[in-house]
Parts: sequence; C-alpha cells; structure tokens
Amino acid sequence: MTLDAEQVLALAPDTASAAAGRKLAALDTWQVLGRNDVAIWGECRGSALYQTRADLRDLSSRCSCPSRKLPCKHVLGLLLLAAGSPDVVPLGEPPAWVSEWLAKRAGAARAREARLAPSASDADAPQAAKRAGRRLSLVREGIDALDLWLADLVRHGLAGLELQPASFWEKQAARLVDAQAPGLAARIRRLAGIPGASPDWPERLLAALGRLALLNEAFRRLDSLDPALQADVRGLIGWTLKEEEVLAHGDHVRDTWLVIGQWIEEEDRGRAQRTWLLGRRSGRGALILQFSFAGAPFPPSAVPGTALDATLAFWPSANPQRALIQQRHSAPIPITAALYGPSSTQRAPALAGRTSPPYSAVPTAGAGTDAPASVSACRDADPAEDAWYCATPIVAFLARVAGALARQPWLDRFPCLLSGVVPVASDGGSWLVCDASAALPLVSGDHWSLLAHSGGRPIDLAAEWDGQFLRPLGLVSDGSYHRLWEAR
Amino acid sequence: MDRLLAAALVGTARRSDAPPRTGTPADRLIGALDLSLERTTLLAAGAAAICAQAGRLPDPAPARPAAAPDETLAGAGAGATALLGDLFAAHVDVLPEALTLLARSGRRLPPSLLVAALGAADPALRAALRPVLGARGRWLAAHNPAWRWACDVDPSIGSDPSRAEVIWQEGSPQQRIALIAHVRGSHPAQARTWLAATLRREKADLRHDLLKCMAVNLSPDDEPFLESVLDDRAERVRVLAARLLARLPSSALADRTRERANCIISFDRDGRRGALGRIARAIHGGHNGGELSIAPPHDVDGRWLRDGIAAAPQGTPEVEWPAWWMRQVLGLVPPSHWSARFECDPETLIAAAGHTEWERSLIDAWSEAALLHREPAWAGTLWDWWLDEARRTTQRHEALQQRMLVSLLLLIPPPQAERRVAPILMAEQSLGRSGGLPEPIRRAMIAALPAPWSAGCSDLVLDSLHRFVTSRPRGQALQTAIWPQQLQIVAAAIAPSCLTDELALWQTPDYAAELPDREGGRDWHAQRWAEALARFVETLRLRRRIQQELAG
Repeated sequence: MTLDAEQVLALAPDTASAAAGRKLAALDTWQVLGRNDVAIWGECRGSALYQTRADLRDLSSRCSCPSRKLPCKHVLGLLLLAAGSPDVVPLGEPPAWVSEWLAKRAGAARAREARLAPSASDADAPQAAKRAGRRLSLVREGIDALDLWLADLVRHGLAGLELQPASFWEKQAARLVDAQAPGLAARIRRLAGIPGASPDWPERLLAALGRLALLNEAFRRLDSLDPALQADVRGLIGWTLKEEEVLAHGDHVRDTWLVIGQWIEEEDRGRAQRTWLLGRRSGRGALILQFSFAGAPFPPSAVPGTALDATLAFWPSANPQRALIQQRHSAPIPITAALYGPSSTQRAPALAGRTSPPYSAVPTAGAGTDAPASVSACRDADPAEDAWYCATPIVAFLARVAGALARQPWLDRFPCLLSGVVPVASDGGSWLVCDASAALPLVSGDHWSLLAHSGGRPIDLAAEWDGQFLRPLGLVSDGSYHRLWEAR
Repeated sequence: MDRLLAAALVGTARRSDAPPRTGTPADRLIGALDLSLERTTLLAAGAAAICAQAGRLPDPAPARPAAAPDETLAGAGAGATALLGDLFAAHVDVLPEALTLLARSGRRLPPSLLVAALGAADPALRAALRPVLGARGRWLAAHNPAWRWACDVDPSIGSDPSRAEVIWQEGSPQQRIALIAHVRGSHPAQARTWLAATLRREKADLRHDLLKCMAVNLSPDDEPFLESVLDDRAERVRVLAARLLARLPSSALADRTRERANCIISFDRDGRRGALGRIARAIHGGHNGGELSIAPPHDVDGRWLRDGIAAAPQGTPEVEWPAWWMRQVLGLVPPSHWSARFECDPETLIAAAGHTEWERSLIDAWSEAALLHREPAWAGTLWDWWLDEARRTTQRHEALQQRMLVSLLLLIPPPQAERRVAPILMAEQSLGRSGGLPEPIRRAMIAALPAPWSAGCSDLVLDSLHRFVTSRPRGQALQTAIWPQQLQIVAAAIAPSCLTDELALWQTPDYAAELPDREGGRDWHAQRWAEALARFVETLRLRRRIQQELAG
C-alpha cells in the first residue's frame, strides 16, 4: 500500500467522513487486519463489528456498515492506517468474506466485457434504426428552430439581452431538450450567465453564439466531416455514448498515467468531477469526467498525485480527450519527484525507480496482449505537436492549445503542466503565474497555498486552462504531490 | 471583431452595411455558403472567436517579487508532516505542544501547512508558531496584511544599525514598535536614545505603545528620560511612565509615592485597645492580628496627577474619589514595602484589611501592586483572598475576580500554584452547587495553570478523575461534575511523563461504551460525559504520538 494520507483523504466524500476516518486509523480499533497485492481488509469494532475491504487497484471498497457514504469512514480509516504505517498491516491470505467479494467483482468485470460483444439481435436492428432515424429528424428540426432564434437575436441586437429574465434562456433550452439535443440545451443554459456578468459580456456572448452557430452549421454538413470530427459534433449536440460503445469504438491506450489533478465543478443540476491524466509514454492527456446528482458520491476514479499503469479507452474525437479506465494493471503508486518529464527547472525522471524517456513518438496502444480485438491503432501523431503534456513554458502551451483547436474548434478545457512558473499576487487581489517571458491569469480567489509551495521560486504547475483563466490543480514539492484544489 | 460586435449589439436590422468579415480565410468559406446576413454574422463571429482563442497571446511577464530566503532550519520530515497535518485539521488544542517540540529539535513547518498556520488567531498558538514558520513562512506572511503578526523584525538588524535606523525613521508604526522592542532587548540605551529624541512628535497611542517597550531591561539609567515623560500631555502615557518609574526602587517617583502611601496606611500591631477593641475581637472570633487605619487622600494636586495618579473616571460620584486616588497610589507601591515597614507577613495585613471599611480597595490596590512588582510572596495570599471572594459573592465582580485569580496565579511558583488549583480540579470537590466556584472562573484558572503540569499534580488529577468516573453515582452527580471543556484542558496539560501509564488506564473499554446505554441511552448528561471522555482519551493518545514523533 503506497498511498499517502493526503491522497486517502482526497477520497473522502465530505469532511465529516475524513475526520471520522482519522479517528478510526488506530491499530486497536481493528482486528483480522491483513492485505495482499490486490486488497486490504479488516474488521472494525464500532457499535457492531463491521467487515471492511478495499481493492487496492482501483480503490473501490465495501463495508458491512449501514453508512451510505462511499467510501465510508471505516474504509477511510483502514486506508489511513495503512498509509500512516504500512508495516502494521500484515501480509496474509484474505478471509472468505474478502476473497468472495473479489471474486464477485471479477465476475462483474467479465460480465461487462461480455456485454461488449455485439449482442443486439437482428430482430432489434430495424427497431433501433427506426428510433435513431426519428431522433435524427427531431434534432434537425430543433436545430432549424435554434438557428431561427439565433438569427432573431442578432437581427434585433444583443444589447437588450441584459434585461432578459432567466426564463428567456430556459425556454429555449427546454425546447432543445424536447428536440433530444441536450448538449445544445446545456450550451444555452450557460449563455444565460453571460449578459451583465462582466464588462466585456457582449463580446463573450457573441463569441458563444458564434460557436453555437458554427456547431449547427457543422451538423448540417456532418457527412462532409472527418469521421472523428463527426463524433465530436454528435457528442456536442447531445448524442451520448454508452460505456460499451466507447470501449468498442475508441482508442485504447495503455500507459503509465500520471493523475495530475482533480476538481469538482458545481453545475446547475449536479456536480461534475474532472480528473486529468497524462500518459508518460504516449504524451496524451485524458479527462475522466464523472457526474453526480443529488449529492451522490462519485464512483472511484483515480487519485490525484498517483501514477497508474492502466489502459484507457478514449471517446472517439478529432482530439481525443475524454476517456474511461478500461483496465488497471496494478495498484497506483504515488508521484514523488517532478511531475513529468524534463522542464526548465528539472532534472530527474518523474517516478522513483522508473526510467523511461519523457515521452515517446510511438504510442503503445494495442500493444498489450489483453487488448480487445477492436482496438484501433493509435493515431500517428507528431509528438512535438501532440505531446502536450510534458511540462512546457507558457508560450509553448498556448501553441499547443492552438493546435488542438485547429483539430476540434469547440474544445474549452485544456490540461497543462507548466514548467518553471512563479505565482504572483497583484495589489488588486488578482493572481497570475509567469515564466521568464510570459504570464497567464489564475481563476479568481486566493492562491496562498500555491505561493507557499513556490516560495517565489519556479515550480512545475498542473492546471486546467479554460481559455481565459488557469485553475491550479497540483504540484510536486518536497518530494510529494500536493493538491491545490479543495472542495469548499 | 469590433465591427462585428457593433453590428450584433445594435442588431443587423438597424445596421446592415457591408457583409461582416473576420479577416481570416474563414471569410471565403462563409461567403460561399450564401446565407442570410444574420447567419453570416454569427458564423463570422464564431470563426473570429475561435481564431482569437487559438491566437491567444500570453500576458507580459510582470516583475517578480523577491524569492523566499534559504531556510536555516531543517525540514519537518514525513512523519512529523503527517502528524502536524492531522493536528492542524482536527486537534488545534494540542498543537502548541507539538510546535514547541518541533522548534526544540530545530525544525520548521512544511510549506503545505503554512497557510493554515498563518491563519491562526489565538495568541498562544501564534507564539508557538513563530519559531517554526521558517524563512518561507515569514516571507509568505509579508504578502498578506492579515498575516502581519508573523513578520517580525528581522533578527539580523541587531547587528546592522544602519538598517535598523532606516526602519526607525521610515517604517510603519508596527514595524517601529517591533524594532524598539527588539533593540531594547539587546541595546537598551540605544532604544532609550531613539525614544527620547522622537517620542514627543508621535501620536498619543503610538507614544504609549512605544513607551511600553521600555519595560524590557528597565534600569536606573532610564529614570531621567521616564521622569521627563511624566510631563506628557496624555494621561495614559503619564500613568505608564509612572508605573515604569515605580518599578525602580531608587527613583524619585518611588520615593514620592511611598511617602504619599505612608500617609494613607498605618498599622497597630496590638489592635485596638479598650472596650471597643474587646467587642470587635469578640465579634470577629478572637481576632488579634493588629489593626489597620486607613486615611484616604481627600484632595490631590497637580504633582499627584503628574506622578501618574489618574483622575477618577467620568461619572464617578465625588464620595468615591478618595478611594479611587488611594487605589492609584497604593497600586504603585511594592507590597513588600508594607511587610517591611510593619514587620509582619502578608497574611496578617490582608486579614487586618478585612476589618476595615476599605477592604476591597486595599486588596484591589495590593493585587495591582503585586502584579506590577511581580511579588510571589504576596500573590499567593492575595490569590487565596480572591478565591474566597469568588466562592462567596454573586456574579457582580466575576470579570475582575477572574482576571485577578488568573494573573496572580501566574506569579505564584508552579508547585505552589498547582497545590492551590489541584483541589479545584478534583471532581469530588466541585460537586456541590453552593460553595462552588463560578464555572468560567474555574475553567480560566485551570487553563492558566502553566502546562504541562508536574507529574505529581498530573497523577493526582488523573487518579481523582478516574476514581470519580469509575465510582460515579448514577444520574444527578454527573450534572455538576467537571464539564467537558475542562476535561479537554486537563488532557492537554497532563505531564508528558504520565502519558504512557495513563493510556493503559484509560484504554479500558468501559465508560465510553457503557455510559450512553444507561437508562435507555437517553441521559443527556451521560451522553455528554461519554463524548468528553472519548475526546479526553483521544487527546492523551495523540499527545503520546506527538511525544514519540517529535521529542528528541
């Protein structure tokens, strides 16, 4: 077990669970304690005896306690205990209640893979085609109506929109939901927040409307687009892919993935957790995007500050970014030295005990023997252009953003690992990071932790860029990863 | 974009001149589509927006602030970092102990904890944090006005007079106060010279705060300067100067004050003679400890006012002025002066004060004087008086009683202080509602007792608490016993050497588990107790971990 306490606590669904977990991380609350390569387990004496077990490969867990939190305090306590003093948890053979659980999980995984095989019988095919055709015509009608509405806005001028109530936008969004184009509906809802929000709102609103119009136009000419870009446009309009479809049609890339940061965005109907990964050999960036509604916990994904050997499946795209973890090949290990690759200030390979070039031009997708037959070969790419994710100066990062936008013009979030930047707080309370020749603004708020870690010296910073502001997510200093984003 | 924006803002219906252009190759593509003006405008705006996003240039690099200086202390280490992180997150109460040990081993806080550390508000915690902030912490504090408490004057200025002079001439008030306090510690005469040269020109509040720094390394050399400050315009500055001079036994002010005080108090060792005396003795149960006669001043002149005798606060009835003046004068005279002058011990004099109509004024003044002159011999006896008083009286004087009990306790040597407070701590003693101390006072005193306590005192308290908990009567008794907050103070003050044994004792899985179930688990007091005990044991364990991780 190699997670450290900070990383375990990052799993906690809320601060109360984290505090309760800390209390349980004492040896004398546990019995039948043990671990092996894949799992850790123990019995915790609370108001009853609870059987707690966690799979170390993906940190999924199960506990016999009645708590509905995931992970519950017992799991956190168990992981914290192991994180604090690895030797107190003896290696051993798992008891039946652990091995049965592991076997059940393995069975579920096999069942999921079996689902991948084309199962829709021929009898269903005409039905499905009919449904798809019906939806397509609905969406087309919706987009025609949306274009008329957009043209109206421009004909009468945007100046008056500042005074429109929220319902003005919501009504149009609802129409698009009815037209089964939820992606467009979400874009309209985001528009509602722009008028009056900043001095340059007319410019921002016009830019957003323009992008939307371009998307509509692209959909009209879908057949003339590159298949990968077609997938992007369909996704942006609102066709979602099931996990099986992603696994079947997307690129599969096995790599050592560095989990460089994670943050949770409050959205109007729930929360979105964004976990950014970057591949050490492939040089790819990947986004694990998860949604939660009504305060439900997020399923386990990847722990920031760790590296995991895994195969990711990417959503088909002209610039593949969103991905899911298809298979984990080992337990995550903490990132200890520089986050990634060579940089202006660094030096040693990122992972203790591993040496490999910072990135390689030859992606390893499909190389694994366990890869499904349907894996498509990873797109050949120019590493200088595609390997975004080795730490870079600001200027080079922006050039990569331009390259990605050329492939997929609607991209709005970009992970970055800036090398040798220094945080600076201005007198006005705004923050930025700069390297020798350039600077980028940080999202509003205080960034004291970042300043504390840097001490005014250059650091390598993991962040998310939204085209306007950088959101710092993490950095490595004093030999360990530090998360910079925290939930309220 | 500007023309596009202008057209879109007012609406193409009103402004439909030339077809919109972006100046990019997209114009040709859009033109080829042959769409309405509105659609063309939107598509051009979209293309322009994406081009602008792709062509985003970085902002120019600003001037960078100076980087933090190199650290002189060692890093905390992984184990200590994890432990301290836990403490900052959930156990701030035992943090000072851990920080003190960290400082003792020549280590500093890791950068990841600096933001939490600088956010501390409690003065005791801040004092414990200062030595472990490291160069990085002090550097960071300089960036945020709210963290000013942490950026002390750089200790190196003591050896660089020219830099100190610049700060003294040009620094902010806080910087100048910190500088004078620092220089006064190492070069008292230098600090005095600076103050003497400029004090007159400062505002009253700053004069007062600067003059306070003179308390460090006070010596007879300071008398001429302090004597000149007695002519200050502001009363509080004069009072402060007088208090400083009073601490110099050879000063002229000390002489003048002693003379005034001698006129107020006289003492007859044999007590009142005659019939009246016999009656008094009979009433007071054979009291024959001598008799105090008090003659408060009935008028004061300008020389008194100059010597730091403040005028009575506005609204004080004229009949109370003599008592006020008397307290001002007596408050400046060392209490040991009276023991020497009347050749008797503090107990006798304090008992005799009880037989005058001026008891409260005398005790007030003597207590202030004992605090000013730091006289442990009187502090103990006065403390006993205040304790009786607090037990006896209503809540009217609670704030004053608490202040006196706490500050006098700090003057008493720790072993004696522990002997006095330990009985108050014992659970059995605090059961009865009548005759007990008001809760806030008791808590304040327990908190004021310097931690960690001696092993003896710790054992005593733990034994007593353990006995109480194991043999506690059902129901009622729990309501008036030590309150949970006090239990937390106890947990933080137990001597480190007692932690090992006590842990074994408290680990027995009894009360915490069994208490809430009593009487259907609905007993609120039992619930409180169980929680408090659980927290108590947790704190003891945590402190043990602190000792193991950070000591040595």
